Amino acid sequence: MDLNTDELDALRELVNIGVGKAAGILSEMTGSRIELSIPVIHLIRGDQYTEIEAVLGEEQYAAVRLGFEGAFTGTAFSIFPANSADILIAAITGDEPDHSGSLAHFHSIHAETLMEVGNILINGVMGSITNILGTRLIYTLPSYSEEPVARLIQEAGSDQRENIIVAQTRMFIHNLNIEGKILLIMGGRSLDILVRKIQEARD
Amino acid sequence: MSIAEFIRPLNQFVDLLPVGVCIIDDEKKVRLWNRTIAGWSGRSTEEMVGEHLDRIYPHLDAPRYRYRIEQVLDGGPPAVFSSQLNAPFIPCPLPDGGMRLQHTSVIRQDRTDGVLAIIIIEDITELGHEIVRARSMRDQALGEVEERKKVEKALLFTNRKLNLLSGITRHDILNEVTVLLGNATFLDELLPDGTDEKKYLNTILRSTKRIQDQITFTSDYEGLGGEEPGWFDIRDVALKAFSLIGSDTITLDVQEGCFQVFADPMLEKVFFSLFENALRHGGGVTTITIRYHICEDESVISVTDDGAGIAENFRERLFERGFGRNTGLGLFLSKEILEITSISIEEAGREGEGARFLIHVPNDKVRREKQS
Repeated sequence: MDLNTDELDALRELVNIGVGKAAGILSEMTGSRIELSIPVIHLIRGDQYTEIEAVLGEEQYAAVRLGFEGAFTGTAFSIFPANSADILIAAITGDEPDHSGSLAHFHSIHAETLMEVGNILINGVMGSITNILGTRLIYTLPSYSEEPVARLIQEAGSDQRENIIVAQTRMFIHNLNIEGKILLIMGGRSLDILVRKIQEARD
Repeated sequence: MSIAEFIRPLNQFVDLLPVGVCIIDDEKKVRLWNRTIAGWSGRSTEEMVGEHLDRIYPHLDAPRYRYRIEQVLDGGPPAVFSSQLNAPFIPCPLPDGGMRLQHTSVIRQDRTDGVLAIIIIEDITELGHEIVRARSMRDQALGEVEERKKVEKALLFTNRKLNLLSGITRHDILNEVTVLLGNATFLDELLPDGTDEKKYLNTILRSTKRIQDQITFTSDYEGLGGEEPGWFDIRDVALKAFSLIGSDTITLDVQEGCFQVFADPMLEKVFFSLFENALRHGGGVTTITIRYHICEDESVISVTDDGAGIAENFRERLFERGFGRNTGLGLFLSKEILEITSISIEEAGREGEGARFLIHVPNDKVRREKQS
């Protein structure tokens, strides 16, 4: 299915509220002012791999994954390109950035830290969507991995891979520009329900 | 299932787990406190159950914790608290006075009579220590590399100075040797044959020529190890060295295909020296054949000719400095050039069947494909 401009706007508004909450929490946790830009939203069909790679690239991402099930079912990812993950970790832990453009030097504590940042972002967005829509979901525990986006999408259930909502945002810490994205992967029926619930909430 | 029905059977089970488990209700009252967290925190289960968690641990009332715990209790996704961005969720002192590093997950659990948050605390102190140790080892290694680079730079600088000094000295000595040889040659022409004076003069001429050869050799030897080793294609190197010999009587047959070795840039001199020996002392060499042999432990380059071969009693001393019919320095220098990158050379032919030089190359210094 396709989303019209109004529906995309409504979705962006919900994601923006969630991202704003996440920015507030992250600022308080790090003691630094963290701002997150208004997200840009794309809807991509899961079988359009060319478009996915055009928007997301073929590079390795540091990814935090959270499955959800209920009124609508799917998987949420918070993903950071290697360079951004490196700068982000350096900015919030005080470690030296590696600048290698790869995630090879990341160790478990880095992964754990990124998992928390990703978790805060996803929770902000999912919390905002479920609160406004007045619906409750069941979630898996968040997990962390380093993979290209195409593989992350493949790992989501085949029934979910029909639609990918890509919310692209930028995080600013100490004037550093860090790129992060939130992916919501869900089947046609789930997207249908989400859109209907958004419309109901607006009416 | 009610909260009580849910917690009752859990009590014994969670005491067996190696992670800290605490369950709170929507008023943040502790409903379960397992043995592991009791041991770590120094607060017993009896002491904690029924208490408000944020009254015992007031830092959990700060918005950064409170908001996220309440978000979970309100139906939000599980929350994770990392060791880098948070103080320990439940402070657990270690015997050395430090605090246990913790990774904490908070998960919602719906019951018929209320909502619970299950707090799971993993001890990652050892992991943290390992990373600190690994980081310290890395820093130490980087420091040593930096120190080594400084020493290498200083050595290079000193080496350049010494080369400059020896170059000037060599030039001056060779000038004097040329004058000496010139005058001795003039004198040789003036002296009648068969006299004692002529005999002594010839000894002086031979010695002076040897001095000239040895001084010239020091110029070649000085270049050894002066440049970084690199990858060289044996076929290219051999063909170039052969072209410098300029022989019309010998044919060179080099195996086709890529065979690269990691060697000193003076590798060409090795092949030049082998070809020159074949031409000068080979005893009618018409063909020189170069082949590559890949074995399990090493690779071998064979350089074979169809001349008279090397006498058995010569073979042992062939690569010694000063041994041989000319300057006696070519094969010595070849051996030294190859040794820089752990390559060795031997003569393994039979007298009367031609010379056969075998160059032994460790397999990690061989490449069969060209790389940019």
